[in-house]
Amino acid sequence: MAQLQTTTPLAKKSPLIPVLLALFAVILFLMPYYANNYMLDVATMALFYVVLALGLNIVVGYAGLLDLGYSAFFAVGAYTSAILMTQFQMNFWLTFLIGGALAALAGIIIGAPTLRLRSDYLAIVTLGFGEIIRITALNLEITGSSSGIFGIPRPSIGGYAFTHLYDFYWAMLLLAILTLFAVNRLGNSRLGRAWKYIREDEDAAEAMGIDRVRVKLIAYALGAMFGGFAGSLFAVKMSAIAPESFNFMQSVMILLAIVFGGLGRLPGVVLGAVLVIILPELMRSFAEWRFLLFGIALVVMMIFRPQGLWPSGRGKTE
Amino acid sequence: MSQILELRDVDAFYGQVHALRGVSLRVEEGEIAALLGSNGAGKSTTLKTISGLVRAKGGSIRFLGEEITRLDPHRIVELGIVHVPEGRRVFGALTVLENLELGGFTKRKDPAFTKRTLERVMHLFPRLNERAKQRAGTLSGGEQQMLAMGRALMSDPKLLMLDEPSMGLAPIIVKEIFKIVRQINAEGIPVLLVEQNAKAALKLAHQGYVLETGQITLQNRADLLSQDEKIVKAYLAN
Ligand SMILES: Nc1ncnc2c1ncn2[C@@H]1O[C@H](COP(=O)(O)OP(=O)(O)O)[C@@H](O)[C@H]1O
Ligand SMILES: [Mg+2]
Repeated sequence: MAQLQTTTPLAKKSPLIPVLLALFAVILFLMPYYANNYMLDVATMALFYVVLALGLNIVVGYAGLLDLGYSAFFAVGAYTSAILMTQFQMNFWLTFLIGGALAALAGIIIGAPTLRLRSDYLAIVTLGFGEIIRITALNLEITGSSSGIFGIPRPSIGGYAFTHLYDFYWAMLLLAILTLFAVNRLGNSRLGRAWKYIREDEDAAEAMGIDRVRVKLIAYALGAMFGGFAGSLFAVKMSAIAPESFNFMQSVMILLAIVFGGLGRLPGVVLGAVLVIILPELMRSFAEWRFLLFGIALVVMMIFRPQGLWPSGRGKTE
Repeated sequence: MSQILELRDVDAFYGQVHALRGVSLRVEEGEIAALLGSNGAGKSTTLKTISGLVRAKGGSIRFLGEEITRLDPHRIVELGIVHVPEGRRVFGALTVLENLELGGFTKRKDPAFTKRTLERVMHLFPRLNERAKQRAGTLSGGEQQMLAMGRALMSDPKLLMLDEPSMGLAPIIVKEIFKIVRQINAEGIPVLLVEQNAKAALKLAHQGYVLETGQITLQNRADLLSQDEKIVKAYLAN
């Protein structure tokens, strides 16, 4: 009769799981030794999406707020690093931190006026914000307008310069793992519980004394911050960025990733992010058909498995 | 007797709708005050205005001598006013225990205190204890009401506001709920009780107020009010 609580972290359920996770991590770390450049590039993109999806999951999965303009935050991170590095010769790691901070600030700026909106209006406002950032980047001189910024220098650590694809792969893997730990911790924290209450019933949570405004703004800020970090690393990996890297489709793809895998459940979010990158690659021989096929797969899934791919704990919406 | 809560000439609006027109009422130490009135009279709005969910446009609300009229809801909860909203509003997807944990959320009391309070709540509501790991959405209406009240008690309230706890419940359950309200009050917690079930509420309360289209039209000791002809005709007839 009594139901198992599914809020316990996955790792606590079975002694085997930490071992498997560690093994999986080793396989991932060793990837540059057995994978070719193409695979490594796709894997780096997938990890990039994992970070973005985990960040967006704070806003959408944890706090239950809709956000259709998430690519704006990784644009902020990417442009921050690109501008500070090409025009001010700043150290990458410093611009990385500044990029995360500015993205968090952008999260608060978009979050603050939208807090009282219903979710359908929220969708429109966040969508608009995403477009504003992109169009601003398209028109400003400092962002290189439509051609964007190129020749972004490569970062280095203590004299070791990032020159190979695998350097960026490792950096992205590290960022993804750290993000996963951080977001998992957040989900199980006091703040995580506050988000859960707000998501479940905002009015009741507020009546019980949860500071709705603060809790939501923190969700926007933290979610945006991870987007900023990812964007910053993306910029140096690509060494060139342009406004079209941050269009509406990007925001939709990240949202798809977390809906695909299962909202709020981190293994699902990670899986969704990986699939969103890898499935279109696998379907590359179908060329421009692949997004259509991908769309059909999604629709089919929404009909037969709306809770996402990852198995959920006995019908719980966690 | 010292007073816990006092509303003076409180006005509240929803857009153009003037929902409260100069409402004045008070809750004294240790007592149960009943706020009666038919559907749409403004009872829920009164509670929401006290707890800050609706902003008062005029007048003043004082709690334990402190002006709280313009405080945010979470600040008001911290001061000790806990509002059990109409329709219970438990978190259906969360377990009974998780719901109760929310009650202790704002008070960063030591774990020993939370544990003691949880035991007290479980003692008051044995049914919740039996269903601690069950999802709140699977509880019956009466059990959900108990959960909502238990959740409120978890934050150690200095004033408990209940919005129509009897709504939609079978008479026998209502009796049980009201018995528990009396018990809670006997432990020294003042209660502001909103009810359409005037007869039962006046039996329980010390003081009664009648609200009609946003205005207090009658107020008196509960025992006297239950004999008042107008009340009997309007609210106690059946
Ligand atoms: N969110 C709202 N928006 C607009 N009008 C409202 C809202 N809530 C309540 N009202 C109106 O305010 C008046 C008082 O409502 P309420 O306080 O819920 O009454 P009661 O709890 O006594 O049934 C009613 O006329 C109702 O229609
Ligand atoms: Mg009401």
